[in-house]
Parts: sequence; structure tokens; C-alpha cells
Amino acid sequence: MNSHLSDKQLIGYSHATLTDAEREAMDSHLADCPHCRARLAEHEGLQRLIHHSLLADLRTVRPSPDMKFAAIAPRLKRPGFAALWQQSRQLFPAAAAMVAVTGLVVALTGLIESVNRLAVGLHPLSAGPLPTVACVLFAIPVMGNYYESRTVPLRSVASGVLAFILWAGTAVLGLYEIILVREMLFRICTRLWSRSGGYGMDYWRAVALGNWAALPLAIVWIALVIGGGEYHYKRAGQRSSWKLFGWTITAELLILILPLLV
Amino acid sequence: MLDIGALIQRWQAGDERAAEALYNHHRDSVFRLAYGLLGNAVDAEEVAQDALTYALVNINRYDPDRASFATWLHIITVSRCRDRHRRRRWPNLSLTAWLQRGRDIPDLVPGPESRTIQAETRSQVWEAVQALSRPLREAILLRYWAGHTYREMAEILDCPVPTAQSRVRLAYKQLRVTLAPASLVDLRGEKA
Repeated sequence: MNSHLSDKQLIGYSHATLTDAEREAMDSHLADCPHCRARLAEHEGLQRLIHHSLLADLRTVRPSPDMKFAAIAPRLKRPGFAALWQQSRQLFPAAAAMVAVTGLVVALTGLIESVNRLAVGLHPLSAGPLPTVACVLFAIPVMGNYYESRTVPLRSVASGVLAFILWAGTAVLGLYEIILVREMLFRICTRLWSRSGGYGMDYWRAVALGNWAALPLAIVWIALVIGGGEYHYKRAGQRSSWKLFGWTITAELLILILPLLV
Repeated sequence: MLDIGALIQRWQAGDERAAEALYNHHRDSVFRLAYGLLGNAVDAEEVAQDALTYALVNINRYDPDRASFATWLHIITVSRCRDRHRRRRWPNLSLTAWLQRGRDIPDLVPGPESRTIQAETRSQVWEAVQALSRPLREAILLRYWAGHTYREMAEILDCPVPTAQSRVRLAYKQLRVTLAPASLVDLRGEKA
């Protein structure tokens, strides 16, 4: 490293956000370069100034005499049912996981039923209420966790497992919805193109269009499953992860009700 | 030196004096964080009371293996401050307030806000921090004032660690631009 260090590097160095390798490389440069050492000292000086100023400014700020324990003490008295509610909340992670697993099983059943109907040549415009039931089952733990994570967005193994189940469940529902959209397109095309109501050439054109439409949908599905998986992996248990699950489930529910309009 | 763990256990067992000790120990810190984030003593006091009440009522949900009690309180405080910011975005439509317009008698006794502000001498750094956007202000206060690690900041801000780091760097860069002339004077003074 012969040229001088950039501001970006010096700011990263002084904020301890560099990797060990980057830091070691900079250490060796700084040992030989008084110019960069002076610039680093300037950054560190400004950081000390910010730190000390904030400490001094906030040290002078005090709450009013009205802010005292006596003001909140009556709200801390816990009646029997409230204590029971507090205890029951500890069972929430296990209950949420059970609901999510049930949703996953229901979603898989719906998907298998649709695939079976496709295999025997039927057009499964709906697998009955199973996918909708699965969506509702997924929504319960997502809403519960979204509310809980308002104040406790800490990662835990339980929330990671739950996020994985929900990710798999929403992916299964996505697969089912590809079949659903394909069938909707087929139905729309046969209605538009059918002249006599019978299955002539128009029928096969509609089947072909449905099949071709499944291809971009499958690509979108793969992108969403991989991208969503990465997002949830990085943020498992955090509010933003539950929020994305919420939006995913809402979108899937909207697609599920589309056949009612066709 | 207060044993926070022992106090938490005693409060979980129902000892109200332990709750009071926890409250008194963390009151100023929670209030100051809220004040730094909201820039308003009345709002900060409400938020701090709310956060402390929530933490004490839900003490059984606190897990010491995951975070320190102070970090947990900061998670709650930042969350409540964000709620307060969100509410500020909407116009405050109150029928009773509208009906009472023009009938208010000015209060000549200084309120808690004016009492607090009178006691302050604001620095240029403070003004510059208050001018930052909300996410950057949160990051700079948690790092520079509260001294949290980036991992703790990620938990408090509900974001990945690299995001917390980049917010601190970005906030610092903005402060550097704003404070450039002032910081040079202060740094020269520091050297002398």
C-alpha cells in the first residue's frame, strides 16, 4: 500500500468496522506514514469531541421531579389473571411452532392434491380450502411474533426454526399458486377463444399458453424463494423478517381469492 | 455497586423495593436516551415512563443470556421513540383541542420541559446530532453516547450488524461536514 489511505479507510479504521486483514494492512502503512497518522489522529480527535460533547450535553438533562417510581407503582400491581396471562405467554413459541407446522402440512396436502389432479388430466382451479387454511395458520404466528418483536427483537433458536417453517410453507403455497395461475389463464383463454364451447384447437392453444406462463412464474418463484430465504436468514427473529412474512402471506391470500373472479 | 441480576430476581419474586431500585438506577439513562432521540423533554419523559413500566411489568420476559438489562431497556426505548415519531407524522386531530382553541390561559409557571432546557447549555455537536435523520441519530447516540457494541446496536435497531456499522459511519461523515470549522477550533484547543 504505497499511496495514502482514503478517508473511507481511515473512518472504517477509527470506527473498528474493518476486517482483521484490512486492519493489519493499514497498521503496517500507518507505521511508516506520518501523513496518514496525522489524518487518523484528526478523525479520532473529532470522535472524542462528539463523544465528550454528547456525554456533557445529556448529563445536564434531568427528568422533572414528577418522573418517579410512585407514578408508575400502581400499574405494576399484577392481579391474578394478569400473572396467569404472563405465564401463558411463555408457551407462545411452542404454540406458534405447532400452528406453523400444521400450516405446512395443510399446504403440502393442498399442493399434492393439485398435482394429483393435474396428473390425471383434471384442471385443479382450486384445491379446496386447504391453501387458504394454511395461509391463515401461517398468519397467526407471524402476527403474534410481529407484535412481540416490537420490544424484544432478539434472535433465538425457536424464532429461527419458526422462520424456516414459515419460509418452507410460503414456498409450498407459492408452488401451488403457480398451478393456480396456470389454470386461471387456461380458463380465461378457453372462454375467450372457444367458438362452439367444445375442445378443438383452441383448447390446446390455451393449454400451451398456460404452460408457457408457468415458466416465468417458476423463475419468479425461484428468485423469491432464494432472495426471501437469504433475507430471513439474516434477520430471523427480527421485526423486519416477520413484516416480510406478513406481506408474503397477504399476497398469497390475494392470489388465492383470484379464482373467485374468474 | 448494584447487583442488577439480584434485583431482577427479587422483583420477579414480587419484591417491590427491588423494582423501585431498578427504576431509580435506570431512570436517568432511559430518559436521556429518549431525550436524545426525540429532542423534547415532555415526550422523552412520557416515553421513558412507558418503557420502564413495560420492562418492569414484563420482567419475566427478560432473558439475561441474550442481553444486559440496560440493552433490553434501550431496545424498548428506541422502539417507543419510533412509535412516537410515527405518530408525529400524522396531524394531531383532536376535537376537544380544536374546541378549546383560543380559550387557553397561558401557564406562567415553567413546565418540566422549560425547567430542563433552562439547565442546559447546548453544544454545536448536540445541534448537529439533532439535525441528523432519525436512523442516523439513533446510531450515533447508541454508539457515541451509550457506548453499545455494533452487535448490541443491531439488536436494538433491528437491523444487521453491517447496517448498524454503515449508519454510524454515515452519521459521522455528516457530522464531520457540519462540524468542520468548530471541530478544528476545539481540536486546536485540545492540543494546546
